[in-house]
Amino acid sequence: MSEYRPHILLSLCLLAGCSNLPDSYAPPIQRKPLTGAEPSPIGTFVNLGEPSADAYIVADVTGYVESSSWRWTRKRPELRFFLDSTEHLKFKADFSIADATLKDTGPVTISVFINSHLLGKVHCADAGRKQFEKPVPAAFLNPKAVNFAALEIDKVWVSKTDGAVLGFILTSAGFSE
Amino acid sequence: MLQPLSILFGAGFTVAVSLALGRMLLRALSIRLYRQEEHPLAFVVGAACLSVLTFVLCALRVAHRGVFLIVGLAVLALAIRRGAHRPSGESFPALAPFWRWLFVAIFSVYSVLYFFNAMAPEMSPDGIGYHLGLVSRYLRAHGFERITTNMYANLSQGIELLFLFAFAFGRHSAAALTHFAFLVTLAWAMLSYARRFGFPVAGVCAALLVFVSPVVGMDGTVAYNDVATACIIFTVFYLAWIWASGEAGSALLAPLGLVAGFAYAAKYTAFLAVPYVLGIVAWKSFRRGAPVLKPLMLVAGCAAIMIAPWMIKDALWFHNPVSPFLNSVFPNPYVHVSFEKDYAAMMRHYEGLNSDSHIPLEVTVRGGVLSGLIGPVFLLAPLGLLALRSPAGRRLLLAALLFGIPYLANIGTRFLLPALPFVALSMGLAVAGSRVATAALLVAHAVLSWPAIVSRYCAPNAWRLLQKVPVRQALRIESEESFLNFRLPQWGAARMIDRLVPTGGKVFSFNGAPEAYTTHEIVVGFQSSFGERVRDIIWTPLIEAFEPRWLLRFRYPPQPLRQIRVVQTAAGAPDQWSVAEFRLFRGEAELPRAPDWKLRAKPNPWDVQLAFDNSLVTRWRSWQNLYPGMYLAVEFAASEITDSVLLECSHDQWKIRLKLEGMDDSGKWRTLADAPQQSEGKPKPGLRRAAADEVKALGIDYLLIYDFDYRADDFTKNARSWGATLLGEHKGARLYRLD
Repeated sequence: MSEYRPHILLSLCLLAGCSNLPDSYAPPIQRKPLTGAEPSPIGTFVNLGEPSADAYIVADVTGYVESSSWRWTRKRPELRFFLDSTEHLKFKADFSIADATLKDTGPVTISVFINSHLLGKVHCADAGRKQFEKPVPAAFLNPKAVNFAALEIDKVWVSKTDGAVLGFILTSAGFSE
Repeated sequence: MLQPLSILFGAGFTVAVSLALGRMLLRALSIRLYRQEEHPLAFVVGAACLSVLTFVLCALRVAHRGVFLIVGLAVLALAIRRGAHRPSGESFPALAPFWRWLFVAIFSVYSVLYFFNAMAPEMSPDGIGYHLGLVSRYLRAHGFERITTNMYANLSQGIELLFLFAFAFGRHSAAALTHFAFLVTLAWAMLSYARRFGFPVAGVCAALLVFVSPVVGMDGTVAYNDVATACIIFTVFYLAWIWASGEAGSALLAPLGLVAGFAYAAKYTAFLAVPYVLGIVAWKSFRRGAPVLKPLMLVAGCAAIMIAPWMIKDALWFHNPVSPFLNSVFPNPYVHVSFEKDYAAMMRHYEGLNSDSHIPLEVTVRGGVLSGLIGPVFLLAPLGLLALRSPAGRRLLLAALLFGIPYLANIGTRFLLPALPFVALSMGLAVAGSRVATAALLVAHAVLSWPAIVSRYCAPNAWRLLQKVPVRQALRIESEESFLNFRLPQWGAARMIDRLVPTGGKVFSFNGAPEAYTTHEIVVGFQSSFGERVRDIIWTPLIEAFEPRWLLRFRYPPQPLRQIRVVQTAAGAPDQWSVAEFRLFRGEAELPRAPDWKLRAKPNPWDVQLAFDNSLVTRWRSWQNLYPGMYLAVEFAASEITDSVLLECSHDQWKIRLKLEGMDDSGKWRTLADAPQQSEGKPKPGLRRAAADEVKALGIDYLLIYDFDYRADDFTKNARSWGATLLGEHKGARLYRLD
């Protein structure tokens, strides 16, 4: 047995040597200090089908995404957007009027407000997809801040069974250059 | 039609090559066996040989399908040339017709059931996670890779290498069918053992008790390794007692050692096969008055052939020959001591098990909490104690006791499998005297274990076979994609990753993904030190107690010092010590960190730089519970005059007690401050973006977040703050790119 001892000891030493504990380390590359504010979770445009759309919704938009792309609104859906600059921007909204609600409400008008300033109106006499697009005066907007956009429908559809209120179908909205 | 054929070829080729290797070895050693027992014993011995052969091919990075084909065909050609395909040896005395037909009837029906389940698309959690995830990765790399981000890659993988051999031809289901071959072999070996040692009825009973058991059928038909391990352990027992009975010469010690070592190669916890065999060999040699050391050395040497490759691989790559365990004995940067401790605790405590007294009912009837059931008839297992009356029974019960020990470390039902054959044989011995009782027991077990019947009494979430035999799925009449997409919610996530992540892109996930179905590396948050570090970084902006707002300031008279260290003096769990930033001051000015400073930490020296990188989302952590003597130290190139030290820490470490020590020019350490002044820092903006940048710097550009992950909603609501873009979504799994 004694003849094997050196080999056994050597094997154990080799295994133990594998633990490779380093003696020390030098300071690493220094990261830049954190500055400024947390970037806003909201941007300039939102597709209502996106999971992050909740962050844009202020009021009167349902919490459920339909067909992975749109949501129902109620009377005055309001959204918020973070704008770095306010020059040369257009406000754009894609929406639809449902045939089922139009039958009861008749033609409707949707008024678009930016930070409570009326930007324009869309008259909808028939059902189907609609688009609103209009340049926004810089005076309506606040740079490097949250801005609010509301689309108010003049007549809402009210369910006779449970009193649920539906306005129109909102697919996307926001600012672009 | 090609896919089913390739599956059958992959599994059949692997089994045939194993069998050929085993037969050639046993016959080359002139070991005389009965005809019926030669098949199972040769298969397991040959599987050990094929496993180690595949290890060599992987180590040489030549693990190609073509190489496997050439090697396998060469083995088969050699076996045929040597006549190894011809049966040899005497036959056992015939079984009584009643028992023969009862065995054939039940065994055949369940074999068909198991065959189709094994051949159906693989969807077992661990099978599609790491067992085959690693196998597919090895095949892509044509051999072993140094995988430091998945502790499962550090385990011995003797069975997975057989899966690799089969996978190369028939993919996932070929691997599962290879495991199924071990299930058939186990039943066959148990019956053969009992026939050899004179209790065939007990053998019929025990083999069927095990074969038909629901959890055995479930485990043995997927790409796990528990049934294979049980089969190997039983083969060790079988060969050991053939040798001990004196019916075979010392030549049997070589395959005995190989198979005992193969047990370790299959699963660490099966290492007990080695001391078991050594004990029997030593004891029997001593009783016979024969030399003891020589046979022990032979067995140990042959076992080492199977064990050493895995130990050497781990020692070289992970600085720990038994990684991912014993990390406090073999400290290394790849697996944290805290992980090992938490993992061990988790394996001992299953959520939902309120008392250990519920275990018997849970593992036999319910199966919901402990993942599977062995069947209600095993409630009669105490009957097996009657076997203590005979030497054969005592030998079986001793083996059951020994190989049941690892169950204490993991109380999941399938971890009973190594002991189950011995328990079943002792039960068989106890009831074999009564033909009616034995037959009734078997019929009851067969009926109660049929999947449609099991569903009537087990817990709804018990791990078990599908109620319907998946014939259409096994034969791919229904496509694999269709079946997996319907049955496996995460399968679509794996496909999404392959579709949207460019080649080589790494994905981080808190909870993993079916790695066997993606070609991308998934870094899982709990599977390595690296993963835990990434998870810690991501959680820092999400968990208030992780934010480094706890400011600890040590003040002392200005003085020149060569070294400064903060020493932790408390002990206790579950707190770990951590420091996000360690800053040194002279007056109001912070000392710039010089490249010639030497930073040290104990424990976890490898991460010490995280406390000196000026990043508030990274931190040095002890990754161990508190103990006195932990320290963080700075050594200057030349003495520096300082008068305060500031630690920026998180609050998730209430129990820490710190003091500051300094080394003066004489080389003596002395206490500079007994305790720090505490204050609270302001919330820091921009932590999410900083965390994302750190994660990207670690090479991870993609995150896979499930709806059930902690604070998953934050990624949807604050995607912009993270600098993340949503690339795709599948059944609650969202894939983000870090921009």
